[in-house]
Amino acid sequence: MNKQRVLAVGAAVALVAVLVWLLWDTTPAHTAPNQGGPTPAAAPLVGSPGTFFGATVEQPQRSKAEVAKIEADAQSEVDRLWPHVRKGEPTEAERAKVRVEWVNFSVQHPGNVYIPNEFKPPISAAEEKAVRQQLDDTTALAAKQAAQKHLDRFAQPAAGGPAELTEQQARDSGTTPEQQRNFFNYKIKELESRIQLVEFYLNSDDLGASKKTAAKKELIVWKKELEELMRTRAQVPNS
Amino acid sequence: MKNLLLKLLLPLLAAAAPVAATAATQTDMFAKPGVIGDSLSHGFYGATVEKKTQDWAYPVLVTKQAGSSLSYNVLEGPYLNFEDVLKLNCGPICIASSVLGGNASTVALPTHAGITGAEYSTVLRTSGQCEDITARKQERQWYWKTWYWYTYRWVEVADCQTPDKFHQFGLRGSGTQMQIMEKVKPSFLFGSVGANHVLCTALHTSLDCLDADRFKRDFSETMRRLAAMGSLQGGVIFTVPNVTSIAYLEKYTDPQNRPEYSGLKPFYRSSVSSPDQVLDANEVATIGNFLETMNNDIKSQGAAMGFAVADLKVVFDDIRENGRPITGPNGTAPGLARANWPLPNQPGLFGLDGVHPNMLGHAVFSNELIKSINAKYGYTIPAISEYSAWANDSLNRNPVDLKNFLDNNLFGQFMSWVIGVFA
Repeated sequence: MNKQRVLAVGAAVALVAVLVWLLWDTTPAHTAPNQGGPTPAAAPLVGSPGTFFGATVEQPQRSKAEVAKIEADAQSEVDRLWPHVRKGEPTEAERAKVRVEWVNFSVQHPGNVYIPNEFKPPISAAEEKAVRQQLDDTTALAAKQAAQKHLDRFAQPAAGGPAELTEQQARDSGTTPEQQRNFFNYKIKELESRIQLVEFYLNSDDLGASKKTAAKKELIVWKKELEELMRTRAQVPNS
Repeated sequence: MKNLLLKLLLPLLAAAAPVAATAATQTDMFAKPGVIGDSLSHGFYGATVEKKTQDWAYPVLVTKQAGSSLSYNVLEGPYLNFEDVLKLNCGPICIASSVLGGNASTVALPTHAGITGAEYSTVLRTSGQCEDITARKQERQWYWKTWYWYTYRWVEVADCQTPDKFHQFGLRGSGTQMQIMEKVKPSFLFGSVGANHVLCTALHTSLDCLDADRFKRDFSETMRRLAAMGSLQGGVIFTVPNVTSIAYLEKYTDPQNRPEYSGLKPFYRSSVSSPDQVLDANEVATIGNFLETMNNDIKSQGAAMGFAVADLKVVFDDIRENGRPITGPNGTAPGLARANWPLPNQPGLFGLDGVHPNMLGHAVFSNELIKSINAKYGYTIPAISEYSAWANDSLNRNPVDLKNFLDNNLFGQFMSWVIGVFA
């Protein structure tokens, strides 16, 4: 063992001995909580370790300076973690601009599904029921489609593609013309609405060249999709 | 005398010990953090990804708290922020721009590669340009067989189908999430991409998407390749919360008491007309068993990788049962935050789809990961003020009860989009 190592070990032993001596003689009286009153709690500072990891504690009275410091720390944390907060909520002028946009848009496209209820006439109870039924039918089929896609996403390619589904098999599994028509009606209405929105956007001064190109490309795809949906809806039997 | 010495020595020792043991290590550990992940890490929020939601996502918060930073491609869509639409903050032009989607800003090589809709399988296979980089197809290759005969032969080529827009705009030309990490060579990894292996059951109300073998295979392969990089000093991974107790699903009892028509249905359905539209008790039990096996795998492989493992399933179960206390620095207490979207006088951790956390939810999430990282590595990464997150979260500050909007024509597309993204 070299001299340095002996010195290091000796120093460590001495430190431990001092600590043991100090701690051994510490009586419970020194560490017991105050009798007859609540334990003074350390003020949890915003963003400091342990703030939310323990039980909620009673907060002590603080001076104005302490409160100001806590608030400044909190603001600094907000600025650092959530920079968008500094921007604030939309101003009244911005909100007014959105309202004007909706009014203009709804005049041109009154049946568009993206128009908020505030800009449409109130609907009757029967209409509300129809909307809820359409929601049920549309989302049920969306879930079925999603499940099917998920299943096939990682499937090995099969020779000849997926097995054919006959109309009778589909009917036997609960598919009804009413539900399918409701689904196609909604999909068509939504897609037409989306196209109207993007065409409205294209006619505005608010988009740059790259966005314009993307919008035009997307419109071509959506219009093809719309044609296919319309063709398929035309095949749905009356009953 | 002894007391005086004790008072002088103990704080010095307490301060010196963690610094000596961990301070340098924490700096080294977070020298280059990296992220693989899904919609939770990406900041998907009913029903889009944009700068503010990416900034509040848990890996970004935890990394900032650890004194480091992440880089990522900033998205502006696809699709729309339903909260902003309902609050009339976003008009037709804003919606059109967002529906189309795009990048607000880009980086050459992101260190945060988490993408909405991803799972371990897509971490390995889906790039910003191809849905499956391993897919192959046969293609005719025309050539001169000899001087008088022009013909073709069949050759196998890459079958590069365009991926969804989240991958396109999130990863761009940088490769798959895994390839990106292999280029970044991170020192610390956020490695959770397990949720979509099971969340699909809740969104589809079906067990069709459960594939234990694929999860096991792709999770193991991801961990193997991460370990093979040789750069990781640590990381964090979390167990998947019980997807059958998210706000998206609510209890439903069939009026005729048919068991296969009773169970859990999506909150927005007015009725159940087919067993496909509910998760019945047997299905819920199957999902529970799948989750248990999956989470055990996550715990054991996470531990083998030397990662901190946060048991978020347990945390979420507790929040579901008891709520999360939110207390301000001056003692003000808005109450217990619930595992739901916020309501008036009722803080909530979720966004309007009932599936993804809001800004407060991500802060809670981050604190649980910080707690786990600190415990594993002996660090003192500070917790985030959940009160500040609550006080500055627009949805908590000004709640929207989605159930009042079920007659809104847009709602069907909003939910169909959410369901489709996680197909």
